[in-house]
Amino acid sequence: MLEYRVPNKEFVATYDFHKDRPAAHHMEQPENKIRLLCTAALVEYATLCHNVESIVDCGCGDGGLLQYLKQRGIGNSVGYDFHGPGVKYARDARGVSANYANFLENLEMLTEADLTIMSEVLEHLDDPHTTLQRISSSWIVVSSPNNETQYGHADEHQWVWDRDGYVNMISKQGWVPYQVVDVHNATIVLAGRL
Amino acid sequence: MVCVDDDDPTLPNYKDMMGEFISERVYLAVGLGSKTMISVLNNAAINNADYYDFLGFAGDDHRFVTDNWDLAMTDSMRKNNAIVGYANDLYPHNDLPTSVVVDSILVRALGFLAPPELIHMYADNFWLDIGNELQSIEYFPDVVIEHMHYTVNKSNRDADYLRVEKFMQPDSVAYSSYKQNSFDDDVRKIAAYAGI
Repeated sequence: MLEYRVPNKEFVATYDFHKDRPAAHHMEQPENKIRLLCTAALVEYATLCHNVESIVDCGCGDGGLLQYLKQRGIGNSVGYDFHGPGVKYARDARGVSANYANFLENLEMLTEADLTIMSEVLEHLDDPHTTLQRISSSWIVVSSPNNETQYGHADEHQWVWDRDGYVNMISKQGWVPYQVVDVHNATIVLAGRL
Repeated sequence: MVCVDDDDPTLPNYKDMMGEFISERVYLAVGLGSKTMISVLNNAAINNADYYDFLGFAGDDHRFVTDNWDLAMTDSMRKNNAIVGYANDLYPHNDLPTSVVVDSILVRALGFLAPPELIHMYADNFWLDIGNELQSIEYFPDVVIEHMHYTVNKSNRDADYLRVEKFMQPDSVAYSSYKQNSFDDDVRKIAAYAGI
């Protein structure tokens, strides 16, 4: 079971790091698309089985997942990201409700929805553990890479987990994993409040 | 290979049945309570497609009636280059692959066994549609994998059936969206991968 803090990476989850990076269009990339559609299926499942209606996507990027949820009529969703080009693309090209915001500053308020999504977000954060504790929602769907190690990981990642390490980390922050899915080098978890 | 929910009350029976192969052949779908079945299927398929020539699906309401059903199907599918194969499920007037055997090429080409946007239903429609579109599908009328479905009085309409019925309508919408937006591309991907 692996949980590893990459040293000296405090800068990578900041506005300055992200502001000029190009928008990543994950929904148009085959393996990322499958991951996002799996995420959407878990979100839809939560709407059908756990009375989830309002959804917030923290770290929504270019809004690909929000667009799919909107097109399918799955819940009422809104997104936040501090990557300007991504939010602009989400609004202009995908027509979804996305907001430019440092969601980490106001996390408790912004996550006053039934379900919070953090897709490929936690591994970027300085303190993912406290972030998970601060979420106000009753449900979360989160995903992160599961194939990285302390010896090989993306430059912009501050944390590395394998599947078991990720599930354990989430469980220790007061969440009960209801479903864990591995798909294309990522682990996706649907969890509810303890 | 058998995928079992970790809270399935019959899990010990599966473990006994699979015996010494437990660690290799029984996959636990980790979590609490009911799951999105398609995610569990894809989870197992993606992780095994590189190690097996064929992958299959049968629910816990299927019964394998014909001996050596696996060899009968895979030998013929190999000979005929069939991507999708399905047995006779004895369900009246039914032509759906409610259980299925697919060439692992399908999973390697697409990255999934069934469209990942589905929760539980319409996987059989997908396998039928993709096989027909590729003209690479084989039906085995003499191989029986019986579908013990409650609608033909072969089982009770239990809590699990009731739970998954709520996914019929949303999965219908999801599959229609998939057919409209992604199906043609996926047919081309498999055809290119398989050299059809």
